[in-house]
Amino acid sequence: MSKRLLPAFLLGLLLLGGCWDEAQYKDITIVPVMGLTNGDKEGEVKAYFSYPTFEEETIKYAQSEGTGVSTRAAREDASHHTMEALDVSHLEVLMISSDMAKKNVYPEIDMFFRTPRNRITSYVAVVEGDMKQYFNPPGDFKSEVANYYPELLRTGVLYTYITVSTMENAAKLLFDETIDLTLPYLIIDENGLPALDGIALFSNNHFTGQTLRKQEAILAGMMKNKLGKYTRLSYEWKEKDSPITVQVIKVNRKLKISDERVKMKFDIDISVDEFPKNDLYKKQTRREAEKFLSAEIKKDFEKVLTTTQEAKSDVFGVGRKVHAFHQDLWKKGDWRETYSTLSIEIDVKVNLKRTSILD
Amino acid sequence: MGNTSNQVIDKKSVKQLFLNSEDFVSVDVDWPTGKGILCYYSSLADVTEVNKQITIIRQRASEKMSNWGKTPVSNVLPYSEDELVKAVCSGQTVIIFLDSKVMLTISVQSSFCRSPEEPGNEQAIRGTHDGFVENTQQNITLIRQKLARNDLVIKSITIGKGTSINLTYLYIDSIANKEVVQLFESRLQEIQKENIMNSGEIQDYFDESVLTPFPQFLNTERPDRVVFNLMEGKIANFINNSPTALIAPVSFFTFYQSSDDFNKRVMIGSFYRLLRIMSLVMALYLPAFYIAVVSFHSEILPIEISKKVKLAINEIPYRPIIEAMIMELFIELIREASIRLPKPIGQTIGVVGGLIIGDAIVSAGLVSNLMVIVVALTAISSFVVPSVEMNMALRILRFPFMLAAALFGFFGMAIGTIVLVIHLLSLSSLKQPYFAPFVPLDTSRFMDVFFRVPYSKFHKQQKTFSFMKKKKGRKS
Repeated sequence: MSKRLLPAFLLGLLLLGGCWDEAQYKDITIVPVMGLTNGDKEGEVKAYFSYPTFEEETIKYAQSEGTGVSTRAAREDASHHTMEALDVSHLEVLMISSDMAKKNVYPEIDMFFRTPRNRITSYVAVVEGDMKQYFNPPGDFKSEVANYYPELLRTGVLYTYITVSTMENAAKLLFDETIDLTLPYLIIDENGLPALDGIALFSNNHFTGQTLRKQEAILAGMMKNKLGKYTRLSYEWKEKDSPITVQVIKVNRKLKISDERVKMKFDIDISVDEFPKNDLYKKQTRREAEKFLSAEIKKDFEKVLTTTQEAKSDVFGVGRKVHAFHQDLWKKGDWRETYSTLSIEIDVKVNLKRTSILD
Repeated sequence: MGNTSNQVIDKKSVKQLFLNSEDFVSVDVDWPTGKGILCYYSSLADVTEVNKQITIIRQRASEKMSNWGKTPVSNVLPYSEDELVKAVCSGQTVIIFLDSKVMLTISVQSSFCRSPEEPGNEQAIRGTHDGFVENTQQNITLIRQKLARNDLVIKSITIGKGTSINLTYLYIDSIANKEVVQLFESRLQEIQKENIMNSGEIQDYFDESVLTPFPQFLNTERPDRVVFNLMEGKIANFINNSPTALIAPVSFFTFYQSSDDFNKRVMIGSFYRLLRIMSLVMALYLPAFYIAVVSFHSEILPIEISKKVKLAINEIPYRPIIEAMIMELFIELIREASIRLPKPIGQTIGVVGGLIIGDAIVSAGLVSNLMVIVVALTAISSFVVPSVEMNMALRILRFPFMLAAALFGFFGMAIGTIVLVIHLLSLSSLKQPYFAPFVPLDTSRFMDVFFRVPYSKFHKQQKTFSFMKKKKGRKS
């Protein structure tokens, strides 16, 4: 190109609006929360969107829904009656109805991996019942849906109510033969408000319908050795006639597999957060507390383990080790079936490391 | 003109030579060796001092000393009209001896010279507070006082036809690279016949690439800065009647050193040097980054800030590039206006422009308030650079980056960065690589670029352009 034409060319470029990958931020609407459920017809996807709108220099929140044969089609459908195009590249939480999760969920979230703009660090959660009520909770809901769910799940991760369940992780585990996925499980509680109920257990790539509730979910997090910042357990210590609350500092899990027998050995470091008796300064009491907690946690772990075996959901990744080192056991048949019948022994040893500032 | 030794020389013909100028004085004088004509420009010569000198020299002449005309302020030359004009025009007083056809020149110019105050555009908090003045002789005195060594070479050359600019250059013989000095001298020879008025023109002749925003000479009015650079083996040059010293060869990072650094504590000096280099990134990329984010990559914003951004830009009628251009032009206008105006009014312009218009332009909905923040931050970061010229270069370079960001987003910025780096690598200053010590790579000098290294730890003679060579230092 001649040098004289170059400036004219550059100036011309300036006037070409909407070129290439441009997506002017002021022309799109960001969607922080999205819900997916089965449509009325077979093979249809219904999508709900909650998003902030900006008018007259204030932020308001609006909702929209659409149906289509795929997630993307449902979004396009919803865009028909929104002011600006819906953009899911800002998605914080993707909710999937339990009905939909009961079949393979990957096809529905495939769209998020197709566009490089999309973030795949958004949370994925499974919700119980009708999706619509999660966007319009029947109870006296004070906050905005678009803000509520991201914060709720973030808190859940922080307190080990759930383990990190980003879309990236979820898709990874959906395709993993040796370990199963857990996703946060949301319900509408008795007050008609959405709440975090625990974790949903997946087997292979579908939701089993079984969940682990509240404290069980925390214990499952410990067994997976995926601790959040705070992991608290409370027990009623009957002999001492006092409650005891402990915070888990560290979990060390050892998996021993021999002759189709699995031994899970846990070394758990804890600190006592609350113990009104205040006599932990005695060595005797500390020994007793360790013994009591070891027994309690072992009992609970076994309960959680039984639930997962019933659900045929290997969320603890026993299959990883089996696949790597015990091919004979792995090849016995479908791993989930094998897992459910496997005899797994649990051994828990609690070490009381700190006794809070009072003692 | 030409040599007119055969022509009759008298008071009148000499006066004629200077076109009967009002301030030209020529009078007959008696001298122990014969008659003479005393001539000078009364506007240039310091008459009382000349009188004293004449008395002294006359005394020497009557004592029949062999070299009576040679004193620190005077000289004896064979007479020629050219020499006469040159001497008188430079402020010397000349006595022409008609019999012997020689002339005595006495250089006692009356000089009006301001005191060496700290230059207004290069202030330092701690350290020397003197600056160069319009008198080269005095400037050299300022440098000599700081560098008590005999290998500080000072040379001078007259260039230009009609203007007779006197260029003085200095270097430290034992540190400066011989080849660079030779190159510099050969460049000087080349321009000797050109008509040159100021140091900016000289810079043009010396620059290896003229079409670049990056300065290849460091110009400074601070003697301490010149001394630091001389100690690193660079060449400084002055032209007469200019308080600006040009220093070459320089590298890109020379412009980011301030004499303040060396007077601060090591940690504090290092922090501010790092800050300055970070400001380079800010000044270049911030507006481009903003444009790229709001027109291409809004997904990278955290949701909390994202809502605020959306709220700010939702009602802006045009594309972010136009918005940015309006704001940048506005800031440049304020800057330019406050330079041209007298100081007290300049500040008012800053307040009126910055605060009142800035606020109004947002509430009028022409520009988003985020854009104002971005542009203001950018302007502040670009003023951090201790060199005015580099500051200008950065200000200009923002625009292509903004354009690239508006067209291609982050991809455009990446391309722009590549082009910029290639350009910087291809630059040279007196044939020395501009982007040293990165290319050619000399890791031993990295520390010195980003941090202010303790003096007690210098193990090398700091020569900016001798690579990988171990040199004797203060401690080794």
